[in-house]
Amino acid sequence: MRKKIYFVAVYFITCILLVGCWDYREIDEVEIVLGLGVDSHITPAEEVDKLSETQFLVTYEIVGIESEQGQLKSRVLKDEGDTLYRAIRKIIEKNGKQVYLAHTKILIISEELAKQGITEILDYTMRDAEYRPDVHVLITDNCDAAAMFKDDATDVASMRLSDTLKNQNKIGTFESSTVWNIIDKMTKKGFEPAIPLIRMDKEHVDGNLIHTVGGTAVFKASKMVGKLSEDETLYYLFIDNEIKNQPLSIEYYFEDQLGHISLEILSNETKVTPVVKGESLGVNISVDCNVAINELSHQIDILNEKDRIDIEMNAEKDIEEGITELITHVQKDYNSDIFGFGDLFKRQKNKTWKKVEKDWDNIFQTLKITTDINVKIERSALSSHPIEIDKY
Amino acid sequence: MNKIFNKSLNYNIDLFKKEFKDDDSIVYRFFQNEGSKKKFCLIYVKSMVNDEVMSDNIFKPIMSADIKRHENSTEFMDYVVNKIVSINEVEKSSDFTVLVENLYIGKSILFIDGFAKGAILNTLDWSSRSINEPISETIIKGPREGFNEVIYTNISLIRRRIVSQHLKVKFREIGNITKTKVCICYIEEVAKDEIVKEVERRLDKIDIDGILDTGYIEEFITDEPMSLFKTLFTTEKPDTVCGKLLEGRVAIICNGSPSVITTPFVFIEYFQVDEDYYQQYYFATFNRMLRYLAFFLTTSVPAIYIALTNYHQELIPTPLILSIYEARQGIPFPSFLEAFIMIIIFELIRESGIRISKYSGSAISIVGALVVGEAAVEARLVSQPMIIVIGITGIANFLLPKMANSTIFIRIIFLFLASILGLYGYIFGVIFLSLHLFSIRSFGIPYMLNVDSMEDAVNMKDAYIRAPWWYMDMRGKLISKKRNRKKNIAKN
Repeated sequence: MRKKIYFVAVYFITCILLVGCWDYREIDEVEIVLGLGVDSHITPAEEVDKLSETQFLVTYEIVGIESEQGQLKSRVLKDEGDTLYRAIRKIIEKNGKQVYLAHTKILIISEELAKQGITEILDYTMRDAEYRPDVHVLITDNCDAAAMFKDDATDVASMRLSDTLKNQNKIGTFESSTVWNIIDKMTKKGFEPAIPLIRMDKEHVDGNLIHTVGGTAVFKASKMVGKLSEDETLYYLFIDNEIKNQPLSIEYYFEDQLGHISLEILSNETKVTPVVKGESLGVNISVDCNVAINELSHQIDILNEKDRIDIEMNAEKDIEEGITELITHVQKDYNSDIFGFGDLFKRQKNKTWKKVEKDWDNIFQTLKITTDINVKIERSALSSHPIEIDKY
Repeated sequence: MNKIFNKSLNYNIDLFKKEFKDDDSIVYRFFQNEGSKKKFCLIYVKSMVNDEVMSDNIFKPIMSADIKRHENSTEFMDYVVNKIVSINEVEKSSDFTVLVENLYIGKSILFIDGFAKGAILNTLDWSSRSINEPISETIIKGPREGFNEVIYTNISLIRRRIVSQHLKVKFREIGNITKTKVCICYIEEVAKDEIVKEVERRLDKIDIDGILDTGYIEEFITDEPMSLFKTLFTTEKPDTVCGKLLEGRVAIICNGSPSVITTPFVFIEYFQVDEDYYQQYYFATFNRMLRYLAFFLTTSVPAIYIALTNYHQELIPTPLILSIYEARQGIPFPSFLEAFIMIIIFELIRESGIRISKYSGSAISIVGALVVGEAAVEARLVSQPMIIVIGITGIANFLLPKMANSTIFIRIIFLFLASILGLYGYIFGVIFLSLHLFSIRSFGIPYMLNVDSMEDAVNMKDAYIRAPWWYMDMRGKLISKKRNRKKNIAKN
């Protein structure tokens, strides 16, 4: 009996000592990467039809020991390689520590590279075990991804950008997308990805460059084919049913003066339904929007029901025009189904879809759009009167 | 060593004198009666006897009584013992060993010339500690009496609280040389007969030269000698023991020790403190939840911390991992070694705090604060998150004083497993621990009684929460015989 116990104990201890610790990694032995930027880089001597090398910029986090509050400071390193994986591993040449990618928050791809196709990059991020599928993706607007990250800055770009992207509900100039979202759309027929754009703007106060996220990049298959402006992106959000709390401002004639009314969207529900009329296919977009009046530029009596209805109709017309214009623009100029109408047909009108799916590229351009917008003003924040001049 | 007495007083006394040749503390007091020639001799041990009792109740009556009439009868010794000496306990014996044992307790032995027996007279005067609050079990609300080392006092503390003819006390003597008096206490209609018989059987099997404390008895009669967890409960407070007796448990009291054992013992009793029952039940339930949380914290926090920061960094939110990253820069030891060193230092400080004398007490607090606190972190020997981790572990440890000897090992084993296999290792440790706990029994009762089963609502009322007293009308299922608390057992 004793021999058995000894044998079992020795067996266990040997097993544990031989097998344990294969994944052991001290925290201070790895470099934690918070953001990645990918550019395409063609060395001058290369020929045109050779695969372009990709150049990497990796942002590191090194906590500043100098400052007492323990503020984070960014450190930026670049490296290049013919595959993404190679380039990331080559960092060790310059830095000494291996990178740890599980905390990566954003992935910025340059416009040039997006125009050539983003499949390779997304394949790498999907496959590697360390990446999280909810890394946000951004496409640069007229600049390099490398320029997005500044070395030795106390304001760490990745953290701020990830906060910005999480707050998309409040602003309405972009729609954030994550890696799994994009891959999901790419693998579906009849759905194309749309990725937000990022650019560097001059900040007016001290002339420094600052990141601004706004607008959307339109993709077809895996290549970028065009851009949408920030205003257009708001209507894109409407169609995509992603409106939560964005502001909507409309122009309005107060008696005979042109002014603005700012509406805060409280809730929104968009229903997109396919319409089949014989041979012609169409889509009906029905928007049901509850707003609150947030800002009036001129006097108007909002308690008066007639005026309220007038404002509502104005807002409805605004949204209807915006949506129709956007879809027409995309149909004509880019011919890319970023709204998912094809997927909609596949799900709801499958028989029709089977007939037309091969020809969807052409049919998308001829889709008839009908809208049914309904805006309702629920309240007007804290005050029911505007500021009335010379009232008493 | 069988010495045989004969009728001559001098011969008997000489037997004693030969046995205790150089022993100056044994006094041989010869005395006589006024009107008679009969010789008496009283043997006693100095300072163990009550002088007043001796002079008032032994010497005075014998010396002044009128014994002339009976002095030559064969019944003289009985006459003296029954009618003249006014002592509450008297025995007669001719066994040398018995006489010596009684001498050492503090009784005096009276020899009369012409009789081969000695009379053992009770003149005990033990000096013992007064009834104090026990040091290791402090409470805010509730009785503060604690047991002391004399077994008769302890039994009286229990008897005062349970005034019932069903409370039974059975004595035994254990230990070949010490012959320590040990007694079993139980309430007859409530405790299960099988458990009482089993306790008696195990006590009778103990074969050792001396029992000095209930700790010895514990290790002899325990169900699981190799386990980390105790299957017997010890306490120094009479109200705790009485509470457990009322639930059907058996108490074992040992002379010379203020701790009393109660059996059977189940795991949830670690988390029950008698103060729970004296305070309001919401607050008591909250405290009990705190204790369960403390058990989890004190065993698992170092292990989980090591597992997360060394194997599963992706599970930690980014701001936290960045600050841990910053704190760990420049520390020479790997995390596991850091945690282990801190645990050892903590245990060192704790143990030395127990043994420290009053005069050096202040030094330990200074050293403790310096060593563990600022200096180690400033010198970059340990990192600040590790100090917090070990601090939480230590504080949670003190919430469960009765479990301290088990949790230290669990903590170290979990830490070791977590540092080798990450969270897998920790989970394996938990599985092994659970398997062990669920498989052991205490006197036939499963150890994890009331932890797992939800079938009987009664079991829940005292396990995780403390139900109000007006709701607890049944005793526990397996431990007691008659379950209804409200029925008066005297009427049966």
